[in-house]
Amino acid sequence: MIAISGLTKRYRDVLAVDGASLEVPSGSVCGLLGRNGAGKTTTFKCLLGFTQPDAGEVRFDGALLTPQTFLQLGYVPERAQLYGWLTGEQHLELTRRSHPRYDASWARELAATFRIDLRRRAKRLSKGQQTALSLVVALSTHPSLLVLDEPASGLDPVMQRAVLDLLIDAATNGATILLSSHQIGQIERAADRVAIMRDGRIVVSGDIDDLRENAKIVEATFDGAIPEFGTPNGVTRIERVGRTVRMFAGSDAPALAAHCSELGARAVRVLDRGLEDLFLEAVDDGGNV
Amino acid sequence: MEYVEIQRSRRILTWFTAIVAVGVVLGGIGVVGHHMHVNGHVPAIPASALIALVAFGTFILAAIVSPGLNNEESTIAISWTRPMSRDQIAWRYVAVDLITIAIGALVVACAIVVECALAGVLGYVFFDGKIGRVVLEAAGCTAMWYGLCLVAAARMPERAGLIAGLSWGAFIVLVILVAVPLPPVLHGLVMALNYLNPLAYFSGSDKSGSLLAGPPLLKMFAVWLIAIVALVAAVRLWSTREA
Repeated sequence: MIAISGLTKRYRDVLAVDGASLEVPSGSVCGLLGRNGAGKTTTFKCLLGFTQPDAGEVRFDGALLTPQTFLQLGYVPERAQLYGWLTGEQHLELTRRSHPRYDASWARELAATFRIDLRRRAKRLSKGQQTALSLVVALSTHPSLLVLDEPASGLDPVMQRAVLDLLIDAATNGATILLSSHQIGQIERAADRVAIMRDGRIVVSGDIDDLRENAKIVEATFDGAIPEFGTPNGVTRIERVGRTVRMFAGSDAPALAAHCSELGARAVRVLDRGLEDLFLEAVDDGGNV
Repeated sequence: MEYVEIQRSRRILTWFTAIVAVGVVLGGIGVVGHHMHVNGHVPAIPASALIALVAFGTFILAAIVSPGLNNEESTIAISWTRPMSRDQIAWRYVAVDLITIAIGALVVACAIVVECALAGVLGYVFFDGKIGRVVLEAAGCTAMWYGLCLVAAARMPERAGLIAGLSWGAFIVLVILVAVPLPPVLHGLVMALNYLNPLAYFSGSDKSGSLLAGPPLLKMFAVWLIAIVALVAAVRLWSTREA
């Protein structure tokens, strides 16, 4: 389990992470979403001890980070950090020498899956293969905690699918996984939980199914003019197009739909909202791009 | 973790040995068949003078290997996610670097022996009483050079190579400036800076001693103290750096 509580990090005038709290239970994949500069990478840096938070703490299976935590923690950075002059083989040898849980046959299997030529120097690999080599290094020790910053960036769709499948497998075997991605489709495929960051704060977090359950659109079409609704309880946004009104509602959507029918709506539909809708709503800052 | 530094050191030593070998060959071509005479006699060569020559080889290597630890900045995701303390990782790096320098010293020593043999003066080398002091002094100055480069680059790791390269220029210029007539304040500043200059401490086998005043034992102590303090500071700065 990864538990982040009240994490705060300031760089001079910029509050990069602002009291972020999040729990990722064992066997769970949590997708961390946010726009560029939302604080995802800084959160990861605090998480891994690369930078000291100004406040808050991170616990891994109940314990604070120590060098021993890395016996069970694998990390893949946003941009592959490899020794350009070492070959893939040498990177695996480095992992073998520094990590007691290194599994050579598993590492080779992973390298074969990603079609990495281990004889080549890392700087001679394509960007995607460098990312893949980072993943192989991180996964070769069977980590029970995985922190991945854009793990599939630069990979082709087939490799992306392979990465996500590996993560799902790892979580099925009890691993705790926290990954960030800009590709919401990847999160939807691999994650069962999501946290959305905006301006350093986690503004939405929870089980993806629960969030979807509590995020509906009530669409009502009227024959005449749309009656005045005001802003009903639980409605976060209202859109009017012609004689149709769309209300972004929560768990009270059925009641709202019934209310629309009572007001004379010709057709009323309750629609599910995708993760992308939830994300866009969470990071909406009034149209500023 | 030291595996990376071992690989890096192997590459450095390979190149260093190749360059020294080329030097030996070129030097050999120049000395074979020529007899070294001074006033009609082959001069006796104190071994401490040869050790002083070896020291310059180790100074070069100290500057070359010093960026290794700070270069880890670009691979923090690997080096700081190993299940061992950062101090431990850093000290292992330092140990590998110091062993590399020691091996380099042996390479240079062998080259000098070969060169002396080619020149036909090997039999004139004698072990003088200063050899122990010169070895200790050379080792201390090398460690000091390495430590100062390491600590100077600790907060600007991306410039570690540049700092190592500039260290040669800076240390030589500081030694030269001592002989330049400068206003007293500047001269005092130059002398003060020279207390952090390994070249200023190094006297080799020269009877006139090093550039700096003071008892040799005290200077030896200062060299080793500065070296150790610089190494400890560099390791702490590296370990507590923010990525």
